[in-house]
Amino acid sequence: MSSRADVLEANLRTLFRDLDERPPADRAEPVDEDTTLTGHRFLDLLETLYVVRHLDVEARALKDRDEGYYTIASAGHEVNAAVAAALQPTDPAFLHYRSGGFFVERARQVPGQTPIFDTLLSLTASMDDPISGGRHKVFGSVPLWIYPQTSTIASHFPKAVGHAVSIERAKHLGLPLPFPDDAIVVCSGGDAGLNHSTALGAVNAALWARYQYLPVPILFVCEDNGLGISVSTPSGWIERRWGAQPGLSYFHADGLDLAATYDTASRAVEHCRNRRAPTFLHLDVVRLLGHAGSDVELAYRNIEEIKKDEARDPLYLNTRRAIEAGLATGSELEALYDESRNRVQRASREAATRPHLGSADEIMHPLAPYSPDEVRAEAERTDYGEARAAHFGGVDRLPESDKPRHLAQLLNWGLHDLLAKYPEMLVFGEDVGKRGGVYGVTDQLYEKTSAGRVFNTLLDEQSILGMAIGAAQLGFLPVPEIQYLAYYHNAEDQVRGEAATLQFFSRGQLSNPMVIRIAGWGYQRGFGGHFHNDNSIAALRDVPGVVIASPARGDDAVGMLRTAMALARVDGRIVFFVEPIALYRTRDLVEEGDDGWLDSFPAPGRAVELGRARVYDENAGDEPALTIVSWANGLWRSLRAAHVLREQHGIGARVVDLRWLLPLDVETVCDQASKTGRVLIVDEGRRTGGVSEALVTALVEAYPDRVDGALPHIERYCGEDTFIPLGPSWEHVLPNEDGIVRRAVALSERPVAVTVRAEGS
Amino acid sequence: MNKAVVVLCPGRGSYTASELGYLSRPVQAAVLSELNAAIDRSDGLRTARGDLTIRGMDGARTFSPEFFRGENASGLTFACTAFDFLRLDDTELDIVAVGGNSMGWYSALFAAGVFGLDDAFDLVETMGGMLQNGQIGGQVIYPLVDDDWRAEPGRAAAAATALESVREAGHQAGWSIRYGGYAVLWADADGLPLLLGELPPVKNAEMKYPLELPGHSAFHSSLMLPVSERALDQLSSLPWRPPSIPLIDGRGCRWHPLGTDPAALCRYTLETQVLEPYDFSASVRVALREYAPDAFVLLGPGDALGAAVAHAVIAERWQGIDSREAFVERQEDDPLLISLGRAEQAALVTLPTA
Repeated sequence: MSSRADVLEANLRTLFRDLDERPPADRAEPVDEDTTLTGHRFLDLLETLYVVRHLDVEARALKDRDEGYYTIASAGHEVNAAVAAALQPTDPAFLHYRSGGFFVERARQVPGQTPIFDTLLSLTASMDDPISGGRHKVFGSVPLWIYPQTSTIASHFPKAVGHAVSIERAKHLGLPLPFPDDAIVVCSGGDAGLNHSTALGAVNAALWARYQYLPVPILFVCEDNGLGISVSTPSGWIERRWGAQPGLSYFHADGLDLAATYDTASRAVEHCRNRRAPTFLHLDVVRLLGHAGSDVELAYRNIEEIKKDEARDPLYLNTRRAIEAGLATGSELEALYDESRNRVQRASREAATRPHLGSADEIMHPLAPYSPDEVRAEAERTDYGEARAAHFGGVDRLPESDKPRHLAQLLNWGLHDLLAKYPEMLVFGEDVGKRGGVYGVTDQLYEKTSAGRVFNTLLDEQSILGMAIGAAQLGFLPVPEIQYLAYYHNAEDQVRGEAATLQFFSRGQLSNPMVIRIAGWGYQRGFGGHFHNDNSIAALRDVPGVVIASPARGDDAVGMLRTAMALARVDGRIVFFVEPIALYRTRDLVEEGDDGWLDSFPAPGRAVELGRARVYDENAGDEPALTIVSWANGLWRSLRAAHVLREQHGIGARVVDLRWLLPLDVETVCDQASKTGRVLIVDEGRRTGGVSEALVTALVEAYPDRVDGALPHIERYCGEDTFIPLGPSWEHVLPNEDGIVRRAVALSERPVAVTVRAEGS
Repeated sequence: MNKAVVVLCPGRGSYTASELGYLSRPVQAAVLSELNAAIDRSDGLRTARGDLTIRGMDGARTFSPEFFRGENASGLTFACTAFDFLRLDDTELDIVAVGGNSMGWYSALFAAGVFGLDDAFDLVETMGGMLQNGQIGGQVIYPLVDDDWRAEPGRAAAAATALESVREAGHQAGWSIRYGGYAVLWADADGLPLLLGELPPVKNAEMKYPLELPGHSAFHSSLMLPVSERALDQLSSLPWRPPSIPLIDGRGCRWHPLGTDPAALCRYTLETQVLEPYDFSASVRVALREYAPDAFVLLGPGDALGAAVAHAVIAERWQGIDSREAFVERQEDDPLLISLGRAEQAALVTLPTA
C-alpha cells in the first residue's frame, strides 16, 4: 500500500510527464506581470521545495530504519522559503517546526552553507549536528541567524518580541548590533498555535509598545494550514482575529504560491523594516503528510478531505506554474526533482553513520557552564570607578561611605553600582521605573540612567521574561524583576522551556544570560495573603542549570548580586535572585534598636562566591550543641533563636546561612554538622518539594564520604504544605523563633557518637 | 547504478615537468578531434601574439620556467584539463557537480557546459594573459598541517601574525586561497619578501616552505582590480549561459542549471572570484555535504589537487576518513579521490583507448 508521500510524488510525476511544453521564457524576467519574482529565483525556490520534500520523506525512511528520530514534516508549508527569500539572512528568525523551506532557502543566501547534510544530522540526532550536537531536532543555525526553538507551539513569541524591541533599544543606547541596523525579527507559527496565551501575550506586548510609538520591528508569520493536530481552525478565523488589529499591519497571501508569497512577503518585510512596526503576514498553506509520521490522519479526517489537500501540494502547484510559464520543461523539472532526491538520499547514508552523544557528561556539557576563576575575577572587578562616581554623583557620594543600611537600601545601591559597571545592563518589570518598585528597591534607577535602561513593562510575566530572553540574546544583561514570587508561576515556561534550554540546545553557541530578581517568601505579618507571601520555590529548583540565590541581609545581597551578574556575563547563566520581602526593611536582630541587621555597603571588589554558605559563630560557644542551617527569613529567626538558646538555655548553636539555594554548599553543611552531630534545618518553604528535602538528601549522601562515623541527627522545621492565609493566622503555618528554640533544645538532648573528620576534608 | 562523482579542476601551477606530453597520452580519436581544433585555434592566436604554443610547450623535451608564466600556464593547464574531461566515461559516471581551484574555476565552467571549448579557451587565455606585462604582487603557499596531514598547532596563528606584520609595515597582504591544509597567501610586491620572512620556515617531506609560487600574482585580492575591470570589459560579451551540471564556486555557493542567471555568473567569475579569496576548502566541503558523491574525479594536469581535497575530506571525517592513514587505506581499496593524473586511477573513469 502506498503512503501519502507516494501519492504526492505520483501526482508530480504525472505533471512532469504529461503537461505540454511551452515556449521557453526568459528566466531573467519576472515570471509574469503580477510579480517581481524572476524565473531564476522561482526555479531556485522550486529546487528548495523539492529538497525539503525529500528531506521530509527521508526523515520517515530514517525512522523506519531506526536511524532517525523525528518525523514532523514541513510538507505543505514549503513556500515559507519565499519568506526567507524576501528577508536578509541577517534578520534574526524565531521559527516554528515546519520551517524546512525557510531554512534551506536562507542557507542558499549565505555562501558555504550545507542545509541538506545539516538537517539530516539533526534528524539522526548526530553529535555532528551543527546547532544542537544531537540534543534536539530543530531548525537553527548560528551563521543563518536562526535561533533554535525548543518551543513546540508559540512560546518563542515573547522572546521574539523582546528581541525586536531590544534591537531598537540597542540602537538608542548606542550599543553595537551584531547585524545591520535595519534588521527585523521574523517570528513564525501556525494557526492553532496563535491561540496560545504566549502568542497572544506577545502580540499584545508588541502592540502595547507600538501604541506608545516605540519601534517594534517584528514580522509575525502565521502559516495557516487550518489544523492543530486533529483540531480544525474555524474557517476565516485568522483573518477575522488579526486582520483588523489596530497597530498591526496585516498582509495576506496564498501561501502555496511562490510568486504571491514572495511579493506579499517582500511588501510586508519592507513595511516592517522601514516603519519598524509590528507586521502580520498571514499565509494560507496546507498540511500534508499528517501532523507527524505517527499521526494516522484517516483516524480523524476522511480520505476525500486528505485528497483535497493533496491537490493543493505546493510542489505540484508551483511545478505546474513553472512549466506553464515556460520556465522549464517537465523533464528538466523531473531531473531537478530526482537530483534533489538523490542528493538527500546519498547524504542521508553518511549522516546515519555519524556518532551519537555517548555519555551523560557529553550530553550535559553545555548545560551549566561554570568558570570559577573568571567569574570571581569578574565579580570582583573594580575598573569602573569613573562611571561609578558619575552615576552616584561624585566620589564623595559613594554608598560605601554612607552609614549601615537595611537590605532594601543595599540592594538598591547594589543595582545602581551594577548599572554603572555594566553599560549593557537593563532593569525592567512592573513598577520599577519612577515608582522605584513597590518596595523601593529600584528607587532612582530610572532617574540615574540613560533612557531605555530602566523601564516598566506591561503586566505580563511571560512578556517580562520574554523581553529578558530577547534582550539577552542580543547582548544585553537583563535584570528583570518579578514583583512577587507568586506571579512567576504563570510564566515559568519562559525560563524552564525557553531560557534555560538555549545553551543546551545550541551546544553552548548561544546563551541568554540574566539575573531574575524575585521578591518572595513569607512573613509579611499577615498582609497580602498568599499571593504576596508565596513561600515555594519548587518551580525554580526544577530547572536544570539555573542558580538560585536568596540573601538574608544587605552585605551578602550585594556580594551575591555581583557574582550573579558575573555568572551571567562570563558563563551565560540564568540566576534567580529571591529577595525576602519581610527582611527588606528589617533593622534589628535580637532587640529593638540594636541595628543588628544593618550593613555597610561593600565596596566594589567584594563578592560572595557561588555556592558558599556563611557561618555565624557568635552564639556557638566553645562546644556548640547543634548546627542550625537556614536562609532568608529562616536565617534571621534562627539567629534570634540562637541568641535565646545561649542566653536562656546555655545551649550553643552555630548557625549556617546557605545564601545559595542552588547549588547548595553541601561541603560547609557537612563540615559544620560534623562538629556538633546535630543539624536542625529551618526551611521557611513547604515541607514537600522544598530546599530542606534536598539538603537532607545531600547530607545523607555526602556525609559518609566526608566524615567517619554515624550520620548526624537531622531534623527539619518547615512551613506546612499549604497556601498562606491572610491576617494573623499566617503564624500557624510557618516556622517561628519559639519553634526553633524548642526543637533545638530537644535536639540538643539527643546523644551523639564521637565523629572524626575524614583526612583532608 | 552509476557512480555519483564531483569533478574538480586544478589551478595554475599544476602543469610541471612531469606533465610534459600530457596531450599526447593515448585517447580515443573522437575525444581528440574537437579538442585539437580548439587547441589549433588557440595556438594560432598565440603564434600571432608571439607567444609559445600549447602544443609546443606540451611537446617540449624539457620543461622551461617560462611555462609557469600566466600567459602560458593558463592555456596549457586548461588544455590538459579539457583533455581529461573529454576522456571521462560518462556511461559509468553521473557527474553531479563540478568545481575547481582558482583558475580551475574557468575550467569548471567548461566542464559544466557554460562554455564550449573555443569560448573557454578565450576566457582562460584572456585572463591568463592579463598580467603578461607585469606581475602584480605574488602568492605564497604555506602548510598548516604536518606530513601526516594533522593540523600543526600554531601554524594558522603564525600565518595570521605574518599577515598582520606585513600590514603593519604598510603593505597589503591577505588570504588568497583556502586550499585544504595549505594556506595560499598574497602580498603586494614590497610586502612579499617581508611575508616570506615572517612565516616560520617549515620543512615537510618533499618541500621547504614558505614557497613563493613562481610567476603568480596576488590572485584573488583587491590588487587584481585592474584585471577585473579589463575582464568585465573584454569578457562580458562571451556567451554566458547557465551550466548544464551544477557548479560549486570559490565561496561554496551552488550554481544550478535552472536557477543560474548568466549575468550573475559572469559577475561572480570576473569580479568576485578575481577580487575575493578563493575558498577551495569550502567548495569541497559543500560538495561533500550537499552532494555526497561516491567519489571525486580530479582532472589533470598533475595530481596536486589530491592533497587539498583529502585534507578537506579528513576535516569532515567523511565516510570515517579521519587521518592520512585512513585516507591512504581507503584509496587502496575503493578510492574516494580518482585522479586522472595517475594512470591506474584514470583507468577507473576514462573511456578505453582501443
